[in-house]
Amino acid sequence: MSNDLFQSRYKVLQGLVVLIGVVLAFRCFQLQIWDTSYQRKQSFRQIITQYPSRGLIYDRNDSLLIYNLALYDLQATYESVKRSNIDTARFCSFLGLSPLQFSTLMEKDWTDMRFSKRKPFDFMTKIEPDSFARFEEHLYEFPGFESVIRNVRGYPVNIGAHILGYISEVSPKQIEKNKAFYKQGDYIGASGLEMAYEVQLRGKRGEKHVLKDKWGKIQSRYKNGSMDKAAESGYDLVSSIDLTLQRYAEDLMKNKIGALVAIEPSTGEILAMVSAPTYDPNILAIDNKRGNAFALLSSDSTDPLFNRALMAQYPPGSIFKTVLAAIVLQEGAMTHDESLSCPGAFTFGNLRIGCHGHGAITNVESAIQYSCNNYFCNTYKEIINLYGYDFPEKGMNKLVEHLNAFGLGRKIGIDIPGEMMGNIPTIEYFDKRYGKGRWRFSNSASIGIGQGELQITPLQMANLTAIIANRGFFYIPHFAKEFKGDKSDVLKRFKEKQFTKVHPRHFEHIVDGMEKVVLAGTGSRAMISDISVCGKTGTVENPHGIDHSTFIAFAPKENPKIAIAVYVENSGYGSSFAAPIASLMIEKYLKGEIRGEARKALETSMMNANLMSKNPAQSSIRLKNPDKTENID
Amino acid sequence: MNSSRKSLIDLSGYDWIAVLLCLLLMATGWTMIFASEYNPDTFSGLLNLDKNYGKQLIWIAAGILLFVFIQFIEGRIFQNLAFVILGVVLVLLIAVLFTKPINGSTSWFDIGGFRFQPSEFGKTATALALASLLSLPDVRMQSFTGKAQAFVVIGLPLLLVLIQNDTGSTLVYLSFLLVLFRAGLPSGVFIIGLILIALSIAALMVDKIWGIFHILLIIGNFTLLRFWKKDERLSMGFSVLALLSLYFSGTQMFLTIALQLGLLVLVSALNLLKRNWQITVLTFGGIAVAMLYSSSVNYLVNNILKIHQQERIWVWLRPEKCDPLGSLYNLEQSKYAIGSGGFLGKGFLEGERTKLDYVPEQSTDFIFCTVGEEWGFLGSIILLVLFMTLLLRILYIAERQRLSFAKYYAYSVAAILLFHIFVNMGMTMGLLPVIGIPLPFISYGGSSMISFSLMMSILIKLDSERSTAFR
Repeated sequence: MSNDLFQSRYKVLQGLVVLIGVVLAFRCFQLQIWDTSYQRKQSFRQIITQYPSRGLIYDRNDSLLIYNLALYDLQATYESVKRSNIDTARFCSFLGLSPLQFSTLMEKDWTDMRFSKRKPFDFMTKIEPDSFARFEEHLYEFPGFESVIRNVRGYPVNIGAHILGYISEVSPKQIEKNKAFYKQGDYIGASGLEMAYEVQLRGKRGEKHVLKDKWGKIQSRYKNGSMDKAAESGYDLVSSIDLTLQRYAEDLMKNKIGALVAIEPSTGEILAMVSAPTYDPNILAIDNKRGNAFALLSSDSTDPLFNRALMAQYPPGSIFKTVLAAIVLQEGAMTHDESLSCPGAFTFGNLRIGCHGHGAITNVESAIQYSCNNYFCNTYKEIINLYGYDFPEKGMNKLVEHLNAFGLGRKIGIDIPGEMMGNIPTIEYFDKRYGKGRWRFSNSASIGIGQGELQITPLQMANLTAIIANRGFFYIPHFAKEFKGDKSDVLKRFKEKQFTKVHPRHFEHIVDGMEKVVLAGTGSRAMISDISVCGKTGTVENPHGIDHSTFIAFAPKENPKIAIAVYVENSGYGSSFAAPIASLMIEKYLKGEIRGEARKALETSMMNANLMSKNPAQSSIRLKNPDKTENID
Repeated sequence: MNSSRKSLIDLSGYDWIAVLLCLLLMATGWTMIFASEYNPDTFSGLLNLDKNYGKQLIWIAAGILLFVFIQFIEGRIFQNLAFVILGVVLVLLIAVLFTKPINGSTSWFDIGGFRFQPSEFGKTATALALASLLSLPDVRMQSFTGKAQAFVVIGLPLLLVLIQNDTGSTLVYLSFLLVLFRAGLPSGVFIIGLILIALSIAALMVDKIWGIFHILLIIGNFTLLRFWKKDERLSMGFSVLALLSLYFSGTQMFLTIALQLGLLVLVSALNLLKRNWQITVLTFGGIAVAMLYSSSVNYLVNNILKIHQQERIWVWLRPEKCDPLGSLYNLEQSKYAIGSGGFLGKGFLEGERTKLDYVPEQSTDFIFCTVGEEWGFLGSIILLVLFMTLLLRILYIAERQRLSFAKYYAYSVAAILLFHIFVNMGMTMGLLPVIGIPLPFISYGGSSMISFSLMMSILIKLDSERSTAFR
C-alpha cells in the first residue's frame, strides 16, 4: 500500500469514532446522572381510590334499615376516546344521549387546569344501575371510558327518616376540614346516624397503584400491587330501633303534628322516635331527582325536615309536676304524706292559678293522680323559698341544679345531631326581667304547673320518664347499640349511669302516683289490662288554636321495659290522643300485638285520626317564646 | 481443487472479534425488544409471532443463515458484480416509488404481509459499488472525474431515496463522504462543510439573523485588523470594542452593526492601501457569503419548509419554542425514559416509561430508551463501548486489507454504522434532530437486521480472504 497517500487519515477517522463515542457517553451522563429531575417525574403512576362499602344499619333485631345501592359514574379520557374512533351513535343510544349532548359532555375547557386530555374526567355521573347494566356489557367497545361504582344508600323499610339521616356530596368547607379523606364528589353523612357515625360507617379507603400508558389506559399494577391498600368496609351499625315498634309509631302519628320518643330505661336505648309529619327516606337518597324532593320538603309548611323529637321545645305542662314532686321530697320541704286542701285555685296575693274539681289530696300520690295545680304551685313555692322567702335566688339555684341533673335545660347528649337544650328559668333570667333582688317565687309560679318559661323537648320528656322508671338515674338516650367488629370505645359514654340528685325512695311515691293516674286519674285511657302502666298527662293551652296534648308513661311498674313520651299538637286534652297512643305503643311493645275489641277499635281510631286537615297552621312549636299558656288539667 | 476447498472451510482467517461483537449486539437488541413489549398478563412464549420479539428471533436466525451463506461466495464476485448489484437495487428503488405510501413514504414493498425496504440494501449495494469504483487504479479523489464518478455512485441512490420521502435513509448516504475522505477527498471540502453546518445551526438558533451578522462582522474586522498591523495593543483594543458592541447589541443592534460595518469598510481600505489584496477580498467576500448563506438558511427553514419539517428542527435546536404536549412530547418522553434509568437502571423488564407506550417507536427507532431506562448509565455505556469497539475493529480490519476494494468496503461499512449509531442515539437523547433510522443490530426490523447482517457478512468474508487475495 505504498501508494496510499492518506494513511494518516486512518487516525483522523479513529479519532472521529472516539469523539462521537465520548459525546454520546457525555450525553448519557448528563441525562442519567447529572440531571436528576428525569428520575423524579412519574406521571404514569396513578393512585386509584378504592371506595369502601359504607357500613349497613340494622335495627335491634337485625332487620336491615339501610343497605348500599350502586350508582355508576362514567369517566372518559379525551385522548383515548378520540384515538379509538368509537361508534358514537351506538354509544349514545345506550345512554340515551343525543350527539349534541355527547359532544358537549366530551369537550371540556382544556385550558382549565382541572382538566387534562390525558386524564379521566367525569363524563356522566349517578347513572342508575338498571340503565347502566345494559351499557356495561358493551363498555369494551368504547375504549377510553371507564366505569366507577358509587355506593349510595337504599332504605328497604321506609321508616325512621329523621333517625337514619341521609348522605350527600361533601361541601367545599368539609373538604377543607378533612383534606386527607374527602375530595370533590365524595359522599358524607349529612344528618341523623349517617352524620353522627360518619367515621365508623365510612370505613377506610383503599389505594390501587396502577401504571397508565400515555393514552391514560391502565396497563398493569405498580410493583405487582405490593403498595396497594385494600379498602376496609365501614362497621355495620346495630341500632337500638325496634323496627316493628318504629313503624307502628309512625303509623299512629300519621296525619298528626308532634313527636314520640320511646326509650328502654334499663339501657337508654331508643326503641322508637317519631317526628310527625315524617317523610320517606328514599326520596332523599342520592339520585338525580333528589334536589326536587329536598326543595319540596323544605317548603312544606308542616316542616317535615324539622326533627320535632329533638328540636321542638314545648312547654311540658303537667308532666313537669312529677319532677317538682321528686325535688321537693328530696329537699325535705314537704313530706310525701302531707295533705293539702284544694280551694279550686292557687292564690298568692293577687296571683291566682285555677284548678279543677278533684278528689281530696292526702299525699303526693293523690296530688299527681289528680294533677292538682294548687298542690304543685305550692310545691314550687316551697322549693324556691327553701332558703327563705327573700332568698328566691338560692332556691332557684337548687332547682336548676336538680333540673340539670334530670337532663333538662341542657343537651342530654343523644348521638344524632340537632338536639336542643330546651329552656329552664335561671336567676339571670329573672334578674334581667325584674331586677336583681326584686323578684320572688310568685313571679314564676306558673312553672309549678309546667308552664311559663319552661320549654322541654320530647326527648327530654322521654328521658325524664326513664329516670322515674329507673327511680333516679338514666343512661344517655342513644341509637347506636353496637358497631359490629369495632373495638373502639365510641359508645362507652352510653354505658355510664347518670344519677339525679334525688334518692330512689322518693321516686316510689311518684311512681305510685303515676300508676294511679292511669288506674283512676286523668290518664285512664292509657290503661292496659294486666300491664301496670304508670303515666302522667299534660295539656298545654295553645293560644293559636286547639290545645297540645302530652303524655309520659312507662311500664311495667316494676322492672320497666319501656318509657315513652308522646306530644301531639292541637289534639286537645292529654288524655285524648297522647295517652292512647302511648298506651298502644306500650302494649304493642310488651305484648307484640293489641288485644281485645275495645283496644283494637282505639288503635283504629288513633291511626285514622287526621289532625292536620283540621287546622294545620295552629302549630306553635316554631315560636321561640310562646304566648302565655294556661294549664287547665 | 484441494486448496480451494480448503480455503472455503478454513476458519483461521475469520475475524471472530467482529463476529462476536455483532452477535452480542443482536442478543442485546433482542433482549431490549422483549423488555419493551413484555407483558406478564399476555405472555405466551418467546416465539409469539404477533410480537416483535418473536419475529425478531426469526430475523436474527435469518441474519446468521445469511452470514453462513455469504461465506460460500468468493469475495471477488462482489467486486466484479458490484455495479450490477447497484443497478438491480436502483431498479428496485425506482419500482418502489409506484407502491402505496406507508406512513407517508413510498419506501416499502409489501409482499404477503412481509415488508421489505430496498433502501436498506441500497446502502450495501452503494458500499460495494463505491469500493469497487475507488479500487480502480485511475480513479483519484484529487481529480475532477474521480470525484464526479464517486458522487454519481452515491448520488443516484441518494436521490431515489430522497424522492421516496425517507429523510433518514437519505441522510445515511452522506456517511459515504467519510469513505471519500479516507480516499483523499481534500480536507477543505470538509472544513467548508463543517463551517456551513455550524453557520446553519447558528442561523436557526436565533429569531433575528442580525446577531449572526454582528458576530460575522466582528470576525471579519478582527482578521483584517491583524493583517493590517500585527500589533497586540490594537487587537486587544478591538476585542474590548467588540465585547462592548456585543453587550449593547441587544438594545442598540442596528447602531452597533452599522459601527462594525463602517469599521470593516475602513479596515478593508487600510489593507488595500497596504496592498493586502488577497486577504481583503477573501475576508470581505467570505463575510458577505456567510451573511447571505445564514439568512437564506433562516428564510428557507422559516418560510419554505413544511410545518412538520420545521418542527423537527425546532424540537432539536429550540425546544423552548415547542409545545411540551405537542411536538416536543415524544422527545421529552424519550429523554425522561433514558434519564429515569439513573446509574444502574430500573432493572430488566422494569422499564415503566418504555413499556407503557410513553416513548414512541420503542422497539424500533427509540429502542435505546429501553436500554437507558432498564440498564441505566452503566448499561448505556456498555452498549456504547460495544459499538465503538466494533467500529474501531472495522477500521482496523480496513487498514489491514491488501485489496483496495476490501479496504474501502470496510470503510463504507464503518461509516454507515457510525452514522446510524450517532444519529440514532443522539436523537433519542435530544442531541440531534429526530431522524427515523434504526440502531444497528438492536432495533426491531427485518430489513435493517438482514441489511446489517449482509453488510457485515460480506466484510467478514472479504477480510477472511485477505491473505490469499492478490492485488
